[in-house]
Amino acid sequence: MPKPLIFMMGRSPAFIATDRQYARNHMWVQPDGAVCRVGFSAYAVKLLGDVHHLAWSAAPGRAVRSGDPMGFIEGSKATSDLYCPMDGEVAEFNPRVLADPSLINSNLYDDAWLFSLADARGPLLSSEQYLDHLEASWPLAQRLLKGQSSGRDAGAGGKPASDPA
Amino acid sequence: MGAGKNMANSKLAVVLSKDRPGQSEHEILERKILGGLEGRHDLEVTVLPHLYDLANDGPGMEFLRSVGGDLVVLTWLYPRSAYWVLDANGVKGRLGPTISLAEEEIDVPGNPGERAIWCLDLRNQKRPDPFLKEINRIASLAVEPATVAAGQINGRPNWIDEPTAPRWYPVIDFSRCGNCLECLNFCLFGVFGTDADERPIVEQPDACRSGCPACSRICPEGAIMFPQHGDPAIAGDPRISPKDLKLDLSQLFRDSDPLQIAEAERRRALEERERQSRQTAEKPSELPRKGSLDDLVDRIDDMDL
Repeated sequence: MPKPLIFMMGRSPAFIATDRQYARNHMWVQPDGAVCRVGFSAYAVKLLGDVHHLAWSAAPGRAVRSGDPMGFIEGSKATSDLYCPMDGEVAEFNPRVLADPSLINSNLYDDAWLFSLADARGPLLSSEQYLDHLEASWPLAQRLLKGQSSGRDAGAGGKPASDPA
Repeated sequence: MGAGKNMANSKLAVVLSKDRPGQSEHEILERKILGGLEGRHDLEVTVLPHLYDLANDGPGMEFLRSVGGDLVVLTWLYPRSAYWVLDANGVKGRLGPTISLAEEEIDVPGNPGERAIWCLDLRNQKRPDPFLKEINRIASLAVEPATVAAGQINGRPNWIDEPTAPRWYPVIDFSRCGNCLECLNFCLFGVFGTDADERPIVEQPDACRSGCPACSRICPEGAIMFPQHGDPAIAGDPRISPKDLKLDLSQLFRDSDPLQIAEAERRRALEERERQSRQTAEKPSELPRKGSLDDLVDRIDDMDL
């Protein structure tokens, strides 16, 4: 494997593989025959901590759009809804990862692909562009995470700035 | 049946609310618990479909409302969710402390003077014994004997059949609700209304969009539960208060901020509803309001609209 790029999350390095592309939602995308495999970037996995729960709400064969909710993941440090990074059709969910979500921590760039998409369409970033995206969004991400851990100011219950109605 | 009525006066009402069909392991546990309760003449055992799926005016809820005295309810829900589902359907009381409640949950809702509703979470234990033991413990405590309309026959449980389908609607925890009415303002489907005291209520539960938990995220007090949601904090886990939730990375993993997520969930649900109403060739429904927030969301999924 070519030398990975490194993004420093504080003092902790996240290794960004250069043999694939990335979506802005911190998933990597790699063609595999007729489909694209999708997995978590090292940055995402570091934020989650030790992953122990993964569940999918979408079903194989379903047409999905970028941003569609697909499932839920829980790690030792965080939980998250999971969203589709591209338009396409869900081809398969990786059964090995479903059976043992900790694979996401041990082998995130190979065995622990999450799902595959057929007819995948949508903008992607090169590894260098993804590194730039991480650099640019890190201050915001930190603010968001710190806001959550010290209350809910920037968290899921944040009050809207103005009444949407 | 006259003798049965006399006996009911010294009985504790126990209700087992079954899981949705298709969970064979759950059915086995349910059967084992019912087996363990068989022949108990000090209990009035009733079996219902999944509590969350029962209709407000259906025979299941009618039965629950008819129970006077203390009540034990075994469900596949967090006790907090089960309690507030019952409350919303007019089955009132105080939540009795049980093995299913987290130690951290000190403030159990209800007034000390009220009859007790003991909610046991069937997901807590894999074996029937802890539940049977807990029912015995409660039976020894219960001060208010049950008055139950439908009696069991020869110590066998009373089955109430009600055709149910999986439902999806918010459940409000009024011990947390701050009455800000954010939910009412936020929901586009008219799920929420207000009662005579201007408190929010779930007025049109079945107008809710299946899978959409957006109002739960928008609630500043974490008072809105969706008992079937995958995230314990949304499903009603009492140990997770809004203040000590694990970090929620959803906004990062969707590449958007929390308000955008909630907006997107709402909009997606609205689009789904429009698709459905188009399919059934109904009248065109209202379009989502386009504002600056929607524009932000559009930037993310620019395929929309």
